Amino acid sequence: MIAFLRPDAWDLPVFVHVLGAMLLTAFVATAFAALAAARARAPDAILVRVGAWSLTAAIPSWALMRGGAEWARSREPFPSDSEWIGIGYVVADGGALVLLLAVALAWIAVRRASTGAGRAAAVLAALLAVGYLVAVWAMTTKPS
Amino acid sequence: MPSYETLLFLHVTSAFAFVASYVVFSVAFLLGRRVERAEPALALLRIARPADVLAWIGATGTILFGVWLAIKVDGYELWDPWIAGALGLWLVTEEAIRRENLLFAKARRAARAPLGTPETRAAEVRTLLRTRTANLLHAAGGIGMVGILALMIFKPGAGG
Repeated sequence: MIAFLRPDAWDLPVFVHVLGAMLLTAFVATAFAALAAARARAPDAILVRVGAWSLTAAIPSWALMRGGAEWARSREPFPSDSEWIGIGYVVADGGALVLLLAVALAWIAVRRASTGAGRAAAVLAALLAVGYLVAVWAMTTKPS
Repeated sequence: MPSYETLLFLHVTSAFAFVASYVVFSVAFLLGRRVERAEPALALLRIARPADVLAWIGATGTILFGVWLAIKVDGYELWDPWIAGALGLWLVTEEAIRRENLLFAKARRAARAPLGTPETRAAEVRTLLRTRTANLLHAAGGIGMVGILALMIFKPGAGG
């Protein structure tokens, strides 16, 4: 019921946080779709590029999501040991490392036309998408 | 009967899927307007197909679980300005994306056409995706989604 009871002063930070999270997930999903669909043939090079650019675009989206989260937390009196906030931090910060690795692999796939690197980036993008689903579950159901 | 939290999770997850589908469409739309040959155009349009499924799941889930929430939660009514506004924007967004998908299907057929060179088929794809209608449909989808999100967060006219 948190969303229902939220004071107006929290709205803008929450809007920034949710918009960032939606764009982050969308770019990761786009990267996965493109990298998973790319086959080892010349016309599909455009898909590998789409995957690399989408993962790169996910970085500012991550910053928007993370900045919005801190902004919202500065206004919301939630205890710092809330389990759902902890899950959010683990997914956001742990996911950032995975995201950076995926970006690096995707650009290696672009530069060296490496199918293996592209596949590895696709797997990491899929892992990130699953992590973000867990984060959405934690943010909406707020366990403990 | 699912709990408020479960319905909210399903509603928000559906919204994430809807936005993700729009970003995939945006990539196909924006890059499809610039391709020089038919094969890369087809590769791009290929990723619009799973996005179509994602859009359907996202659109259906947002409306289904959103209406369910509005009925279930005391203090929310379907005729509240922010909910009624979101329903209106959802209709506009859904229709814009549905029509944009028809455009993608047309572009796919143009890229696969047996006649013409790869360059002329790509030119046909570019022409289809550069029309005023295509621009308007794509813009309407994006503006509608941001508008729905703003209404869901700021809830103008809500008592609480």
